[in-house]
Amino acid sequence: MGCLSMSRVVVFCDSSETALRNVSLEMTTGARCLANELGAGVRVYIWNGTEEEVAKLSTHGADEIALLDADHDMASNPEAIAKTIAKLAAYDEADILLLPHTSFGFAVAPHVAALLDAAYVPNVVAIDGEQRAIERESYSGKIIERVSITAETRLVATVRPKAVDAVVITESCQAKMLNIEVSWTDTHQVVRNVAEQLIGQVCLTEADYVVGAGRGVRDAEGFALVARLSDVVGAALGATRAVIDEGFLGLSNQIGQTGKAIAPELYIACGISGSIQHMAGASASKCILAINNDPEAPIFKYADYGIVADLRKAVPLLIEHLAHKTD
Amino acid sequence: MRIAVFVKQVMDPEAVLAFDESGALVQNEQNLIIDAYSEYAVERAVQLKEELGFEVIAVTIGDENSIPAVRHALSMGCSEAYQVSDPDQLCTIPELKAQVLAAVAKEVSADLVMGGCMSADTGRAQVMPRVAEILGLPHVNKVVEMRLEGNLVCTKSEVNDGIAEIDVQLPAVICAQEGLAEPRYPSMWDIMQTRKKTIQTRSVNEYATSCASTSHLAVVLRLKEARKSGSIIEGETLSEVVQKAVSALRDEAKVLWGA
Repeated sequence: MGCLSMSRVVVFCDSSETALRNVSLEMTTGARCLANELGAGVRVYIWNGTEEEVAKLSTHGADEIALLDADHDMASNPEAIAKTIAKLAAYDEADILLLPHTSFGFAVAPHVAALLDAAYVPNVVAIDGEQRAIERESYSGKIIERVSITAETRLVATVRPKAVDAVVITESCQAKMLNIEVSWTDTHQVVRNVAEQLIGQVCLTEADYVVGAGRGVRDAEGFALVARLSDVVGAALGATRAVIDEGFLGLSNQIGQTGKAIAPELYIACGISGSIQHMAGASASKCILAINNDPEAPIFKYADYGIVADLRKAVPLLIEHLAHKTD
Repeated sequence: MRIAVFVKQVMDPEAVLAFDESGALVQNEQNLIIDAYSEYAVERAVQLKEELGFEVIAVTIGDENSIPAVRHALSMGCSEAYQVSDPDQLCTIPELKAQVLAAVAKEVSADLVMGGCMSADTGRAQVMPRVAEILGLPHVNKVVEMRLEGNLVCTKSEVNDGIAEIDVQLPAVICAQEGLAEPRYPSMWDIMQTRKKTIQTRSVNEYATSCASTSHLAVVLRLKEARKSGSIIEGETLSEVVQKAVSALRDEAKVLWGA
């Protein structure tokens, strides 16, 4: 590969994060790995960061940190954010821009790429700094696309939460703080209301433990059992489309190609058949325990441990065992 | 009022994938279907046609294998169909595809442009936003509900942890997310009627001006390693099975106990 000279790798955090999420640290570490090989600096934009959060970004690899105003009316307007980010990135002469692969990134990043005449690489699952490459998933998670980074192409990428390890690179907090005045522009979009819908305290994409409910819950009682299991485990609660359509959970709790991609230490899949669309969002789980009464269910092809049983009988026993796990 | 709805023909998501000697995905003999996200857009567009009497024009790009996608859209109720012939698959470059689709949207005088928020195959999720930027039109992504109030498109759009209500003025670009509309199954009669309809064909060379930035991206594909399937836990009673599962999580997988 030829000699590359790049000026900056820039990270834009999610404007909807009320506290710094791990994905922001993961992106910062990923940016650092790329920047080291490319001879570039790492600039991170966060929204309303506290001193402690700024320090964390610094130890995870940021050279420069700029604060954006999350309380501004426009901070929930995807179009306004895209225009602002494109302006900042052009001013920064950013060669690589990283955003989180969340609904925020999904809505904002392709517009940023179009405005900057940049390539757009969504759903990045690995950053290989040494080889100057990033990898993304496609075809419902069946294919990995490895994209080489070249000096000719400006790149906007969205990074999946928990895809890259957040690593403390330096103990000293020496990142330079920047004062950036953002001039928001008018937008076509009028955002009238944003309604929070997520159920449960733990964010699905960031969670170490996730409990998922599938068609096998059958009714409110079955669903309540699975929800109780997630409480006992201290897990985030997710579901397949069938359960969302029944109205037991909101769209924000959907796991799969259409919904969120999870990568917990443990995923307990209850009454989930394991369709390709669901697994596109769940196959990065480190360990999967599946409970399903159909021994032929595809989920057992992916699960590390399988229990063939009606979840109404198995989940209460599991709750009983796990409730005492601290004993 | 005219709605252009972009549809994509994709490999069945259940397909077992393989590469040829050049490292390209083998497409031949795969079962091709209309992309699910395109289908949500087509359904909502056809509903608007039925409610308000609009014209709905289905547009696709690709080789001859893409034609069934617009035929399907016609049988769902679209008024007209265009196929932009792209035998060399130039439009696998998203920037180029967006240029072509933007030009077609202009040609058919679309007041509203609809399509999927991504495709289930490549999932690059950028053609529609790029079309919006090329045309200078407002765009709402991941739309799960939409209605028209005069020239105003009122949408509900998926955001990280909830739903945002976003309004834009026509003309506009709207991307369908799962849930926008439940696609209908065309009847045999609809399918038969559709066979008589003419699909207008264009060539990609009539629209594409240049290869944009992604053409410089060096991309190598490989199959992702499949998860190894584990074991079904056996036991005399369910209680024993669950007990064994919990032990396995603790002692083998070393999860849940902070080990």
